[in-house]
Amino acid sequence: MENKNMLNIDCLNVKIEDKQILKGISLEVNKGEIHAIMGPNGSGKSTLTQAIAGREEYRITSGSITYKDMDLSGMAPEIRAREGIFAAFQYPIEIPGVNNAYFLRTALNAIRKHKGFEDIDPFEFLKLVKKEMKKIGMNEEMLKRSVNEGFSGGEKKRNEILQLSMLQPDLAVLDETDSGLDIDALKIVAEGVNRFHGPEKSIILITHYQRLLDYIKPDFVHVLANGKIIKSGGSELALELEKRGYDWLSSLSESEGDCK
Amino acid sequence: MNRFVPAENLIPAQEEVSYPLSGDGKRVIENIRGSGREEFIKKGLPTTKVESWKYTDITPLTKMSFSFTSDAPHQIDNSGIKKLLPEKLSECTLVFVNGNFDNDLSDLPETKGIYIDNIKNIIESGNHSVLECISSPDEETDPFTNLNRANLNDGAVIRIGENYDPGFPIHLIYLSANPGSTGMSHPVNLIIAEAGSTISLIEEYTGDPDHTYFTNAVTEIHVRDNASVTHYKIQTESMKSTHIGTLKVRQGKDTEFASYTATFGGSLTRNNIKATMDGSGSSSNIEGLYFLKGDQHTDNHTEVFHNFPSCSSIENFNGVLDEESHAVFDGKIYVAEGAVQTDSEQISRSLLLSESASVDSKPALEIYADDVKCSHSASVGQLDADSLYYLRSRGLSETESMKILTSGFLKEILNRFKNESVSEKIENLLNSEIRI
Repeated sequence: MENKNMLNIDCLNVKIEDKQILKGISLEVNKGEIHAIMGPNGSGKSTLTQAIAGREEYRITSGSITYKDMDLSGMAPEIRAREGIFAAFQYPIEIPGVNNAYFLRTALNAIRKHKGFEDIDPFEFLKLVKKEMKKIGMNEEMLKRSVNEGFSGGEKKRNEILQLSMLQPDLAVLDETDSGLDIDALKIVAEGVNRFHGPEKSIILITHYQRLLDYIKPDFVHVLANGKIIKSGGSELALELEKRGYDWLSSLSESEGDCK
Repeated sequence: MNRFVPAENLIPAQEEVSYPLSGDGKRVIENIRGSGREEFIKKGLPTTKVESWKYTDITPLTKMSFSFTSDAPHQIDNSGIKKLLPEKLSECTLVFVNGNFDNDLSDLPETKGIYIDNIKNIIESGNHSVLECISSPDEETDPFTNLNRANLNDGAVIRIGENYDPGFPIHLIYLSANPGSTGMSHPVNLIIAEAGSTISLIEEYTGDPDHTYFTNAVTEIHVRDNASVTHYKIQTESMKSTHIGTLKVRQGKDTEFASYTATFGGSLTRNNIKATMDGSGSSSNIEGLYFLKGDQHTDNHTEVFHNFPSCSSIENFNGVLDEESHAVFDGKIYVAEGAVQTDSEQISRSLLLSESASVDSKPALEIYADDVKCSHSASVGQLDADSLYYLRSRGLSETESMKILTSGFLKEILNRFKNESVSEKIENLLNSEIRI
C-alpha cells in the first residue's frame, strides 16, 4: 500500500542556545492534510517551523523529524527545500541588492536541478510568475525590486505566497502568514494557499488567531503551549479557542501521548 | 619619521620640462610643468605621518624606477593593445595608451554643441585658451596634483556648450601596457559643462595584468550654473599597479553632480574626490563600490565643501573585502559659515569575507553654520546569518547564497548608477570576481 505519511514528528525536543523551547512534540501529517497549530505567543510555534525548515541554531536534543521517510536531522535547509519543504516566514527577510525575480528563478532552478529537470526558460519563468502575481494581486514592479526591501507587511506575506505557488513544495509550513494582513489581503492569501492545496500537498498552518481558519479549513487543530501540544481536535477546536481563549487549557500541562 | 619624503624619481629632470612638441600652447604647458615640478620638489610625497595619508603608505613609490612613458608611446604593438582594450561604452570614446591619445583607436563623432580634444593636439593646433582653465600648481597643495602637473603630457579636454545635451556619454579609456619597463602616466583631464548643459562621463582605467606601473590621474570638472554632470569611474588596473585618481569638481548655482566609482583593480588605489559647491541649490552625490582581494589596498577619500546655502550632498560607499585586503574610507563634510539648510549624509559600509581583511573609517564633519542637517555612519560586518538562512531555505546552496548576498551588497550601490552599459559591465565584473 502507498505510504500516506508526509511528516512524522516524534517526541521532538529543541533547544536554542541553552533554552529548551520544544519539550516533546509529536505530530503526524499525512498527504493532503491541513493541520493548524495554534497557541499563545512564546509557546514555540515559530521554533517548530524553523526546526522543520532546518535552521541550524535550533538544535534537536532528542526525538526526530521524518519527512517522506527521510530523517531530517543533519539535513541542510537547502536540501530540505529541494526535497519539497517550504516554510513561509513570520517575518520575511529583507535582502537589499538582490533582485526578487532573480532570487525566485535561482531558487526554482535549484529545486528543478535536484529533481533532474533543466533550468526553466527565462521567458517561460517570467510568464508564469506574472500569472501567479496577478492571482495574488501583486504588482509586477515587485519583480524588479530587491527581495522584500521596503515591502509593506502585507506585501511581504504575498511575496511568500508567490514563492509557495512558484516553487510548488509538497509540505508548506506557514508561520503566522495571516498576521498583519487586512481582511481583503487575508482572503487573497488564503485563496493562494487553497489553490496550492491538493491530495499530494500537505499544509501546516501556524496561527495565533482563528480568523485564517475561516478561509482555510483545517482537518486537525493542535494547541501548542509551553513547548508541548496540549490538545488536538478537529476544526471545531479552533472555534472553541476563539470563544474561550487559551487560558482554560493551561491546566492541561500533560497531554495524551506525552513523551518522557 | 618625516611628514614628507623626497621622490625625485617621479619627476622629469629640469631640462625635460621643455615640452616635446612645438606650437603656441607650448609655453602654457611648460609653465604648468615647471611650477608643478617646483612645488612637488618643495615637499615630496606624504608619509603616514600626514593625517590624510595615515592609513595609506605610498612611500614605496620613492624606491621604484620609472621610465617616462610619454617619450615612448609605442612599445606595444596594435594587436597587443586591442587584446587589452575594454569594450567601448559610447559612440564617443577617447583612448589613451600609456598616457598618450591614440586617434586610431578612438571614436569622435562630429557634433556642434560639444568640443572634444586632447592636450597634445590643442598645443599643436594653437587654440590653447581652454588650457588656462587647468588649475595651476600654485593653487594646489596636494602633492599628487603637483606631480601630475610636473609630468603633464596628454589628456582629454571637453567642453559642453550652453544648454547642450549630446545625448550620449563620453567614454575615456586609459590603458597602461609597457612591456619590459615600469611605466607611469599622469593623465590631465579637463571637463567644462557650460551653463544649463548635461553630460555623462565615463573614466575607465585598465592595464596589462602582468605589468607593474603607476597611474596618477587628475580630472577637473567645472559644473557651471544649472548644468548637470554624471561621472563614472571604472578601475580594473593590474594587480601590480599603483593607482592614484584625483577628481576635483567645482559646482555653480543650481547644479547637479553625481560620481559613481567602481574599484576592482590596483595593488594600491587611492581615490581622491573633492566637490566644492560655489553656488546655492546644488547637489553632489559621491558614491562608490569596491571589491578587494589578495593584499589589495583601496583608500576612498572624499571631501564635500558646502560653501553656499541650500545644497545637498551624499557620500555613500559599500565595499567587500576578501583575503588580506585593506580598505580606508575617509570622508569629510565641510559646511561654511552661512551655508544654511545644508543637507548632507555620509555612509560607509564594508563587508568582510575574511578574518584577515580590515577597514579603517574616518568620518569628519566640520560645520560652521546653523540650521543644517548632517549625518554620518560607518559599519563593518559579515554576511547576515538571517539572510543566508532565508536564501538557503528556498533551495539555494550555501555558497550560492553567499555569492548572491555579497554581490547584492555591492548592487545596493550599483542600482543607483544611471547608465545601463556601465551597470552591465560592472555586474559582469562582480560575477567574475566574486568567487566563494
